[in-house]
Amino acid sequence: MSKTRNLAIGLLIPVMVAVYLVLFWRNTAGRTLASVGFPRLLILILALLIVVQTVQELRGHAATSSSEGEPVETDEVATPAAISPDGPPLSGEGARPMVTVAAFLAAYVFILPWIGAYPSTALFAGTLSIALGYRRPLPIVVSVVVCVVTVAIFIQTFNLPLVGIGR
Amino acid sequence: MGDLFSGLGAGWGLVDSPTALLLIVAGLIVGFIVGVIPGFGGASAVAILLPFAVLLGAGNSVILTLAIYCGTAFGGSIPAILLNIPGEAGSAVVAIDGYPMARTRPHLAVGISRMASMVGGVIGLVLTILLIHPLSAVALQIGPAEMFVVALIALVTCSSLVGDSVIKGLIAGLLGMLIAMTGVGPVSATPRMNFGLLELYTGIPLIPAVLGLFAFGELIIVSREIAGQSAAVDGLGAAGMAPLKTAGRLRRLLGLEDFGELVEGMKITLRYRATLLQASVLGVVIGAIPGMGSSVAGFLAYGRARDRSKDPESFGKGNPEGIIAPEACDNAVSGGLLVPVLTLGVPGNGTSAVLLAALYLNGVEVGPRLMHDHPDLAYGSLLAALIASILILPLGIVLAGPLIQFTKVRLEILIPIVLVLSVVGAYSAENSMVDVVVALVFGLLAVVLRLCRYPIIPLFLGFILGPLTESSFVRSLALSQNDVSIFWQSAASKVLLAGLALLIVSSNRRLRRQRQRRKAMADAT
Repeated sequence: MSKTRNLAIGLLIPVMVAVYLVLFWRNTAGRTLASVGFPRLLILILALLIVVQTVQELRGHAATSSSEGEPVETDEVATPAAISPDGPPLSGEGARPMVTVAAFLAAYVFILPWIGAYPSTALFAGTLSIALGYRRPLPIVVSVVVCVVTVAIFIQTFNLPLVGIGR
Repeated sequence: MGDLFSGLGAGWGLVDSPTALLLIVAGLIVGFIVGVIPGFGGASAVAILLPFAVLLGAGNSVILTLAIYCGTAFGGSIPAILLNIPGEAGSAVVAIDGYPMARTRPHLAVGISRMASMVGGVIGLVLTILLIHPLSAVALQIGPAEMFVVALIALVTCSSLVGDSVIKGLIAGLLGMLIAMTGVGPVSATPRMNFGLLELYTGIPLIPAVLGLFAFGELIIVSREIAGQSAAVDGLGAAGMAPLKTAGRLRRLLGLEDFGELVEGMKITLRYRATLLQASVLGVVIGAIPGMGSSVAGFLAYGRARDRSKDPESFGKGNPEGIIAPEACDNAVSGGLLVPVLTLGVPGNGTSAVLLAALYLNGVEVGPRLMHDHPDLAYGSLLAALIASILILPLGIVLAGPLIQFTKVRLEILIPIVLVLSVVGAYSAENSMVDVVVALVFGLLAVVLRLCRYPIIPLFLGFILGPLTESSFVRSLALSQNDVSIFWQSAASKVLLAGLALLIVSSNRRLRRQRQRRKAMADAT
């Protein structure tokens, strides 16, 4: 099951990028070469790289399926996690808080124009802390107040039309 | 030499004001705080502050960004030494010797770290100031064809060095470049791939993209560390941070509890002049290579210091050189980082990419002519970084104690606050909800890429370099009347292309060696 999951994770980006490339290519059809020559060159190189990466992922999957414990020959380099400027690689473990934060953020962005800046911010800050497992009321109240004051400062300083947009 | 001094004079005019000094101090404090909090990087901090920074004007926004970067490098080493929890990736190596020393003599370890940071930063920036003028003169000779090759070199270098796969790095980098092609191109008024949105007619807005990749994405990813927080907070007791009565607490908070030990640590640092110089030079060189960054530099400096030492066995047990080398190198990187930014307009890491973004947004044309057209900005940024490096010592002495308390801030509280700040920052750029959605999409893209082990930095580098690369490509072909040989006609192009080929070959060789080593290890077991 984990091998299939690894393969799915390995192929996710190539598939996503391939879809984007097809959409971009179709979008640039019928234009002059000077206008779309460079993006099309990029699309072709990216397509080639995606094919190479997909083949490597499939070869790796086939190798692990046929021989348990054998090393997989991809171009993955055993770089120490701390050396990577992007930090250690992520795995599926501990995905729950990430999904929670992403879902709450998307919901916040969605409700912001409809219920207004202050209520949506207070709702977002308070409920996200609780959803992440925090239960001490005072810090949560402080966090909500800090968030609402931040929004108020932005609205006053930049004269933002954030309050109640879309209502 | 006269041009160097006139440039420095122009730059001094930028930093010679109370506002500039205030921004340097504020930036350093923000950088210290961000550096101390595990999981947050300098790029995230400058990304969140970008909407404010743009309002300050080109000069002040650059000063603030650089001060934050210098502060982050130092701040990250405080929890690494005292708690064995690196605040940022570049500080991980400092903990190897810093933590064992801090268990018995914490003030000595912190004193060594502060002095090494300052000396490394100052040496790095002085070297950069001396090097950057002749390099900028060479950069002025670069035409559009050479610029196109330089941009490709930057992208390939970054892609091959960051992360664990060259192909994944290249996919990320070229994808970033392609995303930057959204909107109208340099020779056409018809937008490309803008999904029919008028807001994307002129391209993907920069501030939301920066906030998405470095704030939204990082905050979603850092939420994974919530479970490990209790251990970190428990570690404060081990570092001798137990509560005291008011006077003692204040002295401890200001780091003055054992001032003699701090001073001794500083004196010890100055005894290792060769290590300081070597590590600083290494930091400048590595900082100048796009994609390398302080994390790689610190490990290399530590390795070299251990190899040169007469007592290599003591490394890992609290050897002062084990703190001095990575600290000096980490802070010298900030100087080297400015070399490609100021001479070519090519960013070396996330923070310098945001620095370039701040310049772009203030209407400054970034590229080989920056040093020539805006010497005040170029030299002013170097002088601002130099002043920030010097101020690290006194500010570090006063603030190290209070800063350690920031490791106690719970992520469950911090994440909503910083996310709200980022959402409002993304909105404030153009007063548009589309910008917030763009930031969200970039944030989710960053998370998916990280989950699939694709690096983010090449993606952003490609995004920043995209317009420059396309315009260089189109201008070159227009100049040569569509003759592609323009890309290898000049001597400079030939040298650059040879460098690019060498880079690709060496990356392949490195990968092959890694594969053979892994195969040999597997065969042995």
